[in-house]
Amino acid sequence: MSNANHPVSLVSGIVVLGLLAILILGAPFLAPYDPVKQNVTERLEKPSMEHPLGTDRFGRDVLSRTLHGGQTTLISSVVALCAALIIGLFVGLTAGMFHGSIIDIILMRLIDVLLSFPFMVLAMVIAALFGTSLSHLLLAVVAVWWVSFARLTRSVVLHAKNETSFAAARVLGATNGAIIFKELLPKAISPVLILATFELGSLILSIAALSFLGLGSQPPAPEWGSMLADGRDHFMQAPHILIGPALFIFLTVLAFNLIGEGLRDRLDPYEKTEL
Amino acid sequence: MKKVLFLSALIVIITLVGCSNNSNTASTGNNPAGTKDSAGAGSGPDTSDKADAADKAGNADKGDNADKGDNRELIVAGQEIAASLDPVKPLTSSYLRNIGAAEALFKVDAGGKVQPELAESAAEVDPTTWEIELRPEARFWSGKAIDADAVIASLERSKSLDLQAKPFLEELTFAKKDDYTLQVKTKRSHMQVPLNLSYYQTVIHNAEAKHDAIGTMDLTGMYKVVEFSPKQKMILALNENYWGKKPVIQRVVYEEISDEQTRVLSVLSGRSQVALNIGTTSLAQFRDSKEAKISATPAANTQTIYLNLGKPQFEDVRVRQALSWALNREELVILAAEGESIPVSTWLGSNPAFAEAKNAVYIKFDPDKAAELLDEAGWALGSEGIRYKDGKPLTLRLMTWGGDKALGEALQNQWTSVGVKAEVQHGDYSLIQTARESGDWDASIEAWSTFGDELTLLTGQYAPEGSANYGGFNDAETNQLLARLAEESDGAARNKLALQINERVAGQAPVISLFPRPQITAVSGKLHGFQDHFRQFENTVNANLTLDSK
Repeated sequence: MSNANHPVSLVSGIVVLGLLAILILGAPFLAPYDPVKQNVTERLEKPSMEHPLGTDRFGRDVLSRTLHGGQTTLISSVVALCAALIIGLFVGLTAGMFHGSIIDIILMRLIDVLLSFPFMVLAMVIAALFGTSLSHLLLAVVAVWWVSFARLTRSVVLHAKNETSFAAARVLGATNGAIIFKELLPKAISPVLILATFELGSLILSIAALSFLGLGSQPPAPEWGSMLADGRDHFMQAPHILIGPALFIFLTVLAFNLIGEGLRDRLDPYEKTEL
Repeated sequence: MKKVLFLSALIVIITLVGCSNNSNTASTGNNPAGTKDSAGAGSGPDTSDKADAADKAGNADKGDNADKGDNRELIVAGQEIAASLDPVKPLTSSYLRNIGAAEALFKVDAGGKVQPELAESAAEVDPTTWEIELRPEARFWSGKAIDADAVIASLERSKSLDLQAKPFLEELTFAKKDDYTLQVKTKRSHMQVPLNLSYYQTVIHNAEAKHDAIGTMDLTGMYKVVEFSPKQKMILALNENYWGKKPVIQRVVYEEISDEQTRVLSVLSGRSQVALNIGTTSLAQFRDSKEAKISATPAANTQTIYLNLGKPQFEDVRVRQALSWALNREELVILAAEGESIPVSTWLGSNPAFAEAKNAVYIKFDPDKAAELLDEAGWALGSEGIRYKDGKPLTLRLMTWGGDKALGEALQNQWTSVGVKAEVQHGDYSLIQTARESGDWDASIEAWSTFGDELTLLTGQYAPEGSANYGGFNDAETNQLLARLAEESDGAARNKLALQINERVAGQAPVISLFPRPQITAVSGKLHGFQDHFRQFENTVNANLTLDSK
């Protein structure tokens, strides 16, 4: 019963994400209006044929802003995730390779510190020091997000070091670089990628949350979190403003979680054994 | 199968619990609404929902006030109330005056004219001397006479202990002429002493009292504080020995409801009769309400864009003028203030005493004029709609904070349409302060008060040493006019000079004035006699307020 569900999660996640990707990446062609063009005569209009999701306080089409805003949210999330992934892999491989050394101890204590530090606070500190912008937001996110990848990579490396293939590589005189890139990295990639699909959902939510607090993209760029923040002011008067960004955030996070679950079931050997 | 059964049972249980909660909530919420209906208040389903929400907000203990239906109690919901009872503590005097507990020697009426309050009259004896007659019949709550000694002691206490009172009192020296006549010496000629003594920071209090508890405070207002929970609630009862007209309403409850939506629901539900500091985005909720209406008075302060004249692109006056001509202020009022203000193109325009200054310069929105000025200044329109000069784009980074994000976006859009590459940076006010200190800023928005002594106000804004002259404006003609204003004794001539300075500055455009910040108060339909005032925050309660019996 559960085995049969695995492809369903993966396939449904991919289908939803595919549809969202078409809508978001195709925004320049699909969006009916310019997402930043203000029209004072069409403020806070209810959903209609002309404006399927209504208009905001500046008379901007909410559907167009939602589609274009997806680009900002998704691209920034993917960029942040890639950066965190690369840092996490590098740190995890280094710490695992030199397990027990001073490098490992320093890196692990740094990870402990970052794990105990609320990244929302870090984002606010960065915004207070350098100003609010999407790049500063991404800096704050990347600064803490690599930690989980590093820990996972290190644990995979430590496990791999006990395997005969690692011992064989050592005996044959492989350099540390060769061992890392040819022996350890391929083993770490699968679990890290699975983690990344789950983390991407959380990352989208976090970026949207920080933008909601005004720490992310600046006007007039559409972004789902800031659209929700702007819509909140008019919640009693025009609740439809919130539908677009809220629905797209929900579907995107759901899609990534479904894909992550499906990938885990397919690629994680431990999961297979357990089942 | 077991899992399905378990899930079904769980759903049923959750549904039942949910229904039971709803019925409880409904009955709690309907009690006050039901009573109100029976009293003829006529609340629809929406109103009872809102009453419910307000009660949920923790206000159920007072929900029956509106149903008393007479002049026994008025409930005012404020964003913030005093943390102390001592009038010299920060902002305390503002809250005490607002709610009818404290009075100053003078007050300002809704038309901007200074009127006697605890003083009977005032006269300028010579350029640096004023004489103020006091009311012999006036008494503190304790019964002590408000004579010259008591007034001097009060003002000296405020001067020495309240930093906010210093700007109004530090240039004044008080002396007793007789028991009920005060002599005031001024450091500068022709200072407007009655105006200085009308600010809430100068409220008269018994300097011999401790003001650390209800029993030890001693003020003069028509209401006495009888109960006080700092930052929560203040209850006031009628001062039976009040010297002036006694208020109709016997008791006032002033409570702090920091959340704006809860204040809105409180007044819409009929739980409170006045809710202060309502945001423009909540206005729609009052549109069809029979329960409450909106009092939206433009405050005497002007939403103003301050330009950093140290930036090369703003050195040319034509660029600054173009930025002002490019703004459609009517549209800005709609987009950023929900239409609850009026366009003002000069800084003094928001002051009721200078009503003619409203649109003395930049009479209408004129993007063509803006484009012409930018062309003249050498900023040519590029292919992508941005203007360039010497290969550099015309950029403007506008820093906004608080509730000005929408205004920033609207401004950005209007400037972009004439070829300015405008960027809005919305964040904490500390970022603006830091940027100003470092000089790394282009423009920011502030709304300084425009009501007060003309010389003090205009010097602060436009003199080279002015504390609010952020952009470093230094104009010989303006400085000359300010010097003339400092010497002028005739009221009409001073007024004329102030207008001249105001126009000169608007023409030079170191700042760009937009509209007075709207000041919105929600008032119950049952409350009568509420007065719109440009300083609503200190004029909420007056003696003529009455509440409908039904």
